[in-house]
This record gives sequence, structure tokens and C-alpha cells, in this order.
Amino acid sequence: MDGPGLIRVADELAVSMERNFDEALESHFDKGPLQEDLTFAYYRLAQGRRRQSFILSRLALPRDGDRILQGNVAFTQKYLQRVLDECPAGVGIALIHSHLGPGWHGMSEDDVVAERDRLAAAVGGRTGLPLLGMTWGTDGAWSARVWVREAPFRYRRQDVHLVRSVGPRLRVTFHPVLVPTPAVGKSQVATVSVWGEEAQSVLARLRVGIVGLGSVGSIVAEGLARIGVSRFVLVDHDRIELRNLDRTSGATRADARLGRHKVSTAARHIKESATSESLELDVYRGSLLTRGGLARILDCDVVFSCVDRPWPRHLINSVAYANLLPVIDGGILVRVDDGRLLHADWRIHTVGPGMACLVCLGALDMGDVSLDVAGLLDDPDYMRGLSAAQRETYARRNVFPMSLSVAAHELLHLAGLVSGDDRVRGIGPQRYHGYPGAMEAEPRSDCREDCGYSALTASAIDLSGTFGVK
Amino acid sequence: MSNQELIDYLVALGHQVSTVRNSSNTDFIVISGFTVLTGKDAGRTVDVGIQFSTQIPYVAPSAIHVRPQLVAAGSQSSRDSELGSGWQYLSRQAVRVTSPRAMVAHIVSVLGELQ
Repeated sequence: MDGPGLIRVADELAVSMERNFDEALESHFDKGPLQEDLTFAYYRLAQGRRRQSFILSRLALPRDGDRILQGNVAFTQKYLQRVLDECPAGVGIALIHSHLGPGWHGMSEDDVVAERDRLAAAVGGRTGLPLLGMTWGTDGAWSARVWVREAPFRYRRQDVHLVRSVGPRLRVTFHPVLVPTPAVGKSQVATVSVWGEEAQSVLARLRVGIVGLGSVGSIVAEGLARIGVSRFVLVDHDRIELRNLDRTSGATRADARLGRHKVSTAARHIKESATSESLELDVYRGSLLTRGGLARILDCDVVFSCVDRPWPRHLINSVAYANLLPVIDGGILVRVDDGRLLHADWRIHTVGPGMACLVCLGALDMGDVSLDVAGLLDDPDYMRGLSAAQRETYARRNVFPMSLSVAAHELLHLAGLVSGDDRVRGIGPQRYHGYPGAMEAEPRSDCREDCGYSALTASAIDLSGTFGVK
Repeated sequence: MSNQELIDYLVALGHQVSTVRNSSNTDFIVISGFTVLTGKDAGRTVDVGIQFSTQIPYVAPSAIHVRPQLVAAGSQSSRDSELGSGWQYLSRQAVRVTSPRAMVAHIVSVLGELQ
């Protein structure tokens, strides 16, 4: 039951923070083995289709005299009042405290009293948003819950499914009951032997989005299924045609004849290839540039961007920062002249907080975004007016082996993102040059200072207005 | 950068700025009496239209609009403008326009490069 002025709380909840936010908390909580500590923070809420994400946006660290430290810890009324007074409109409040042991933590009776009885009503009444409570374990593991209003001054606890710390490495703590560790099956033994059970237990529980189930996306889908990913969101509006069969994994002549949606073909192929004992598939036969498409992406923990159109890539790039959502992206550029291959390059990169965005990497051109938004890339008159070289950049040529290569490295980027092991994914963005046949790896880099995408970081801004209501 | 930040910057520079909504409900920033600084039209004053960006972050539009028409219809990547009679659409990509100052530089460049 929702109270007046309070938002509806979804069944599935997640918390996200930037890695440097996480590190600031770790530093704050580092008081030795006998002293707990706490702080307030502000969050912004992002609404997916089934998941609400609490995006931690700003710390409100205590000042001298703001809390009572006696082994355990309590906040003062003065501290709470300041946090309430300074809370911007539309922003929620979190109480974050440390415990003196590792791992996921439940709540002590003192914790419950502090959050439910001292805070939930004050915070909910002031912000219209539920209190978020979080507990830090000494190994960096997180647990979290929100307090849902059932009646005036009566609140119930609803546990959060997972907490993400997002940077060049993605660290995720899952609720041990709501999202239990799956057993490693016999069909995954070889995979686990390479990157270990810990990384595998995260991979197996992440919800992974794939936007675009064409050449690269269809291969990524199969690869994810084989390495044990079990939760998928597939987004694509397009259907299989005969001309797709030379590049689309799992697609058949019958799919082309029947004009099956690419997501349906991919879903079937995932089921056929999966090594996980359980599968969760959310198949969306529509564009990312719709409320339904965007909402599904906000349900994800990682997204593979396998679209080549600039506008959806611009949107995915925005979501990566605004919603703290790592995006793995790649691209292929083939130049031909009169049926003769001149050159082929492809590149793979992961973008999101702590990493340079698609525009700052040179993987997305704002001018192209502008053309796509204006509809000019679909305007035959406009395209005819371009030079042959300009038209070539929009030709989007590739062949299956090139897509395989990009997809393979994208999958390794995911494994490296989760394991934190650069020996799996390389040190940063990668560029392959067809001639002489060499892969370059660039050091990881940040966005330019004036980057509009990184400026969105942790804003959870509603991006649905950028493509109109559909 | 946002549409409002661009408007504020243009006003701060002393330009006369208004917003116009066309018959298709598309919004434009219109700078009245903008002086062309270089090129064949140097010294002329024209009205300049900039379509609102609906994107987050800001994506500069793929064209600027001018009144009166400065080049022969259909030449130099021009066409009729959605702003209506008397206006001309000049198709020009604005790749690194991430600030109001860069947008003004873009306008100055586009108008100065006409032949």
C-alpha cells in the first residue's frame, strides 16, 4: 500500500553508485576494527519496467558533533535536520552505516529502530520518497532496503535485490535469498576454470541487455548464453530478412520467410545455447527509442550496444552515465571501392562512469546524431547530396567473421568488467586494424571536461522526452 | 549546455532573441539583426534561427536557418526552411558545439563561409 504523496515501490529494487562514491564511503568507514560509522546521502530514483534503481548522487557526510560514536554509532537530530533541510526537490535520502564484519548483513534491532522508527516517516514526509537504508561490510559488500509506508507511521522493510558499484570494474553484491548464487553446472566447468567461481557467480546473476540483435548482437546473445548468463533483456524492432542470414547467428531461412523478429530468433537461440539451469528472457519487439525500450534497459546491470544508428547510440551513451550503467559497445568500419575491399577496422570499448564516453572515444559523432535526430539519414535526397566518401561511412558494411571478432571481444570486456582482470579484457578500448592484422589497446581514459554525457553522471534524468512519447 | 543557456548567452552578448514555434509545433531560437562578420555577406544583418534541441545532453541541430535567403535556392546544401516564407535552411553539421560560445562561433563560420 502506498501512502499519500509517496511513490509506489516496485517489487525489484537495485542501488547503484559510482566506484569513487563507494571508495569515499570506504574511506569514511575506515575507523578500525571496533568502531562503526554512518553517513547520510542523497539518491535519485530511476524507473525501469520492473525495477526501481536508487542512484546514489551525493554524500552528506557528518560534521563534528553530528553523530555519537561509542563502538556503535547514532546520528543526532541536528544532523538529520540539516540533511532534510538541504534535500533538493525530487531527491531521496539514504542512511548508510558500517558493520564490523564482512559480507552481506541483515539488520540488528537497533538498526531497525533507527531506520523504521526514527527516520522513515521524517524522510518520507519531507521527500515523498522512501528512506533507503544501506549497510557496508568490511570487505566492501553491501546490503540495502527501503522502508515502504503501509499506513500513517507504519513502515515495512523491503530488501533491495542488488547493490552495484560502477567504474572500470563492476562490483555487485546480491541479496543472498532474493538473488541466490546459482550452482555451477557441468556445462560451465571449463568457463569457470578460467575466470573463477566468484566472477561466474556475478555473471550468472546479472541482467544483461542487448540492444540490436543483428550481426554482432546475435553472436553476443549466444556467447552470453554459453558462458552462463541467465537473465536477458533483448531490444530490437527489426525482422529477419534473407539478406541478414549471412551475418545473424541462429537465424534460418524459415525465420526470413516468416519475417520473424530478430529478438524472437535470438531468444530461441539463447534457449538452445544456454548452460544456465534457469533462464529469464524479456523480449521487446520495439525500438530503444520508445518508453518500452528505454524502461527495459533501465532494468539491466550491463548493456551491450549493438546498434549502428547514431541516435540510439547517443541515448545509450546518456543512460550509461545518468543511470550508472556500464555499456559495452563496438563498431566495424569497412571501406570498399567498386566491390574491392580497401580497408577494415573494428573497435571495442566499455563506457560508463570512470571511463570515457562514446563521443570522447571518437566512437560516436555528434554531427551524425544530429542528422539522425533530424531524419536526414533516412532522407534519400540528403544522402544523394553527400560525397561518395561520406555515403560510405553510413553504409554499415560488415561480414560475419568481423562481427564474430567484435562480439568475442565484447564478451571478454564483460568478463573483465566483472572480474576486474585486465588479462581477460585488455587494459582499455581496443582497435583492430585488418591490415596488417594488429590489435591496439589504449589506456583507459576519461571524458573531456566539457563532455555533456559525463555531466549527466548519477543524475537519473528522465530521457524519455528526448524521443517523444510513443 | 541547454536551449535556455544558449538564449541567456545570446542575450548577454546583446542580441535580440526570441523564441518561435512553427506550425509543426517545433520551437526555434531566433536572433534578430545578427551581423555577418566575414565572407560575401560581411556587414549584412540577418535573422538567424536555431531549432531547439530535444536531446539530453544537448545535440546541436544539423542546420541553421537565415532570413533573408543568402544563397540561391537549393545551392550550397540549402533548402526551404520550416520557419516559413523568407527563411532559408542551411544544412551544416555542428560537431563540437558543446557550449553557447561554440554555437555562436558555428553561426559566424556558417554565414562567413557562404559563397
